[in-house]
Amino acid sequence: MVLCIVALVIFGVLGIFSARYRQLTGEAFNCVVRKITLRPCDTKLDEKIRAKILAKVLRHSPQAASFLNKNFEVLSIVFTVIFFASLGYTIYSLYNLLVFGTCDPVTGNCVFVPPTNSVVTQIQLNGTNYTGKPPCGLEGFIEFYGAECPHCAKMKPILEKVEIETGVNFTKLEIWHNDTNRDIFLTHADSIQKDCGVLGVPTFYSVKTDRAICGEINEARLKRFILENG
Amino acid sequence: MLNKKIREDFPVLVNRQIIYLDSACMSLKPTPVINALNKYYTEYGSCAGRSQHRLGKETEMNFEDARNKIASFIGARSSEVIFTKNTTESINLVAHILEDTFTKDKKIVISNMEHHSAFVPFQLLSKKRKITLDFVIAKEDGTFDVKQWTDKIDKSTQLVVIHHTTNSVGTRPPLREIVKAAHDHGALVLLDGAQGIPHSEFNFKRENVDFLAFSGHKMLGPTGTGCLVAKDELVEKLPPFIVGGETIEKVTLVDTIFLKPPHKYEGGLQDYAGFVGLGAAVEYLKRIGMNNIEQHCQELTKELLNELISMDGITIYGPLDHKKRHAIITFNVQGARPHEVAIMLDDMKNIAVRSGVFCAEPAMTHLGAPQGAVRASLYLYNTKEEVEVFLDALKKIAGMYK
Repeated sequence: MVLCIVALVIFGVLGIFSARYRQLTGEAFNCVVRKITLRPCDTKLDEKIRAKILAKVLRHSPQAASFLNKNFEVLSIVFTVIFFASLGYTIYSLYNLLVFGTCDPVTGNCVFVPPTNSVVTQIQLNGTNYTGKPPCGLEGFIEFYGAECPHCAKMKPILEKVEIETGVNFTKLEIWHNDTNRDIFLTHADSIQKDCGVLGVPTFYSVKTDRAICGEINEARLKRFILENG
Repeated sequence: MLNKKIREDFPVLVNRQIIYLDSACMSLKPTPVINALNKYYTEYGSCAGRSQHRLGKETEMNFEDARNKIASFIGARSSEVIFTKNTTESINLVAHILEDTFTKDKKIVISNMEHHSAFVPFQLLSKKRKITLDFVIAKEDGTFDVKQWTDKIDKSTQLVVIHHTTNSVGTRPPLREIVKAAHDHGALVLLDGAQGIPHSEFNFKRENVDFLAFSGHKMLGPTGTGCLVAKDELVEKLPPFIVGGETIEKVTLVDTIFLKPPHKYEGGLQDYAGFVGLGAAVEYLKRIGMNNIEQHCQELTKELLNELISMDGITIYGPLDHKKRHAIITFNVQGARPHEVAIMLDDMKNIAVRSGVFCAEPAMTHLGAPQGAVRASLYLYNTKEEVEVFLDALKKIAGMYK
């Protein structure tokens, strides 16, 4: 049963690309239907898969094959749970990638998106070089954000929580509509680009150390940034 | 043992690293057979028996020459050799042409060890004509005593259906005694020779059976070729079955005069290439020598069976005396399903065996394997080394299920 379900999913996906697997998909489907209706799988697909796996292991290690054979049902259930958990997580990640532009909105780690700009809404410099000094009165930490930036909105509760817990308050500068703030941001462009790879929002910047961290990040990373750059 | 050089005649064995132990299902083909097929298609492929051009005449000559070779191979007259697709069709042909001769008080004596092809046509016939199928039940190991047959065969017996060699365990019944008992009571004998003819010298006249059915594909011949060998004097009186092209001598709007056998039973355009190939196959077998082939297979059977007997975790079906078996060993690995074992042998060492009930469900149920078994079948191209590799792989598999 377990093998048939896994086979149905795998062969179903492979069948999209190759006719060879469509017949196997049909067999797997038939097998699943029969098992659900408490009838034996008449295509013997589960037996074939089991035998092929055991034969491959037996070629390398009779002991491992014997262990696998004796615990085949348990192991197949474990692997099936892992398989479906992975499948669910993959679907969730793909959803995030489509909606938020990253597989993991919390950490920003996503193989499909370079880590530095994974959850950053980028902005353009328009060829201007800003080399001015930081304006007076700004110290500590700054959050550069965009008013409509979805990543900034997601970071808002995280930032608020971190501010309460650490007692550190970020100066929040909106840079999409406020030219003054944008100029301040661009003043630090070199440093931000050096740390983040791109220019974008949200960017968390330490005036003291001239270091930055960008994008959607989790609470722990933000706290560590404050600790290391406070 | 036969010289290993004959393996070079079989392109499959040259081109593929495979240990082929499934010859009871399908034999491999030697180059002379393949060449004969190629020659038909590349040099003269046309119709026999109707076209007057030189290609047609060449086809007819080679086709009938193949019939002569096959007839000589099994000790029959050429006119007695009817070409069919396979053993199944041959046996069905017998069932159909005999149908009208059966009356309610008659019975068919048949064993429970038959292949479905030899059993089902007569099961249908018995229902249709309301005649009795009287079963001779084999001993536990699939063998028979003469008395079991002579007790069943009596004056009401019209037909005895019997195998030459079982496809399930490779055993042979006491054929001559069965034929004698049948003829003493005026019954006909149909012999299913599918497994026996490829492995032993057989003489149709000497064995005195009335019908002999066998397949070409199990004896190095092309697929789709089979024969029904039927006594001339018998089938001349029987009705045709599939009629139309090839079977006709004269047709008017009110009647048809059919050709004499064997052409009376060969409806439609024939597989000329296939039978020319089968002719080449029997020539090849004759050249190697049927006695040599039988001895070679017996030696391998002996080694394989004796080693299996001493192996832990193996259940063997059929007799444990190798002399009672002919090139077929059937077994199960305890705790494993037959198909699993077959797939593992294939995956591990490229060993091809058959698994299942071998189209002989009543026989396998009787032997104690209703869910099927694994069958290793041997032929002239198998070697002692192959048997050793097979045994080694099987030992590992059996060890895994301990």
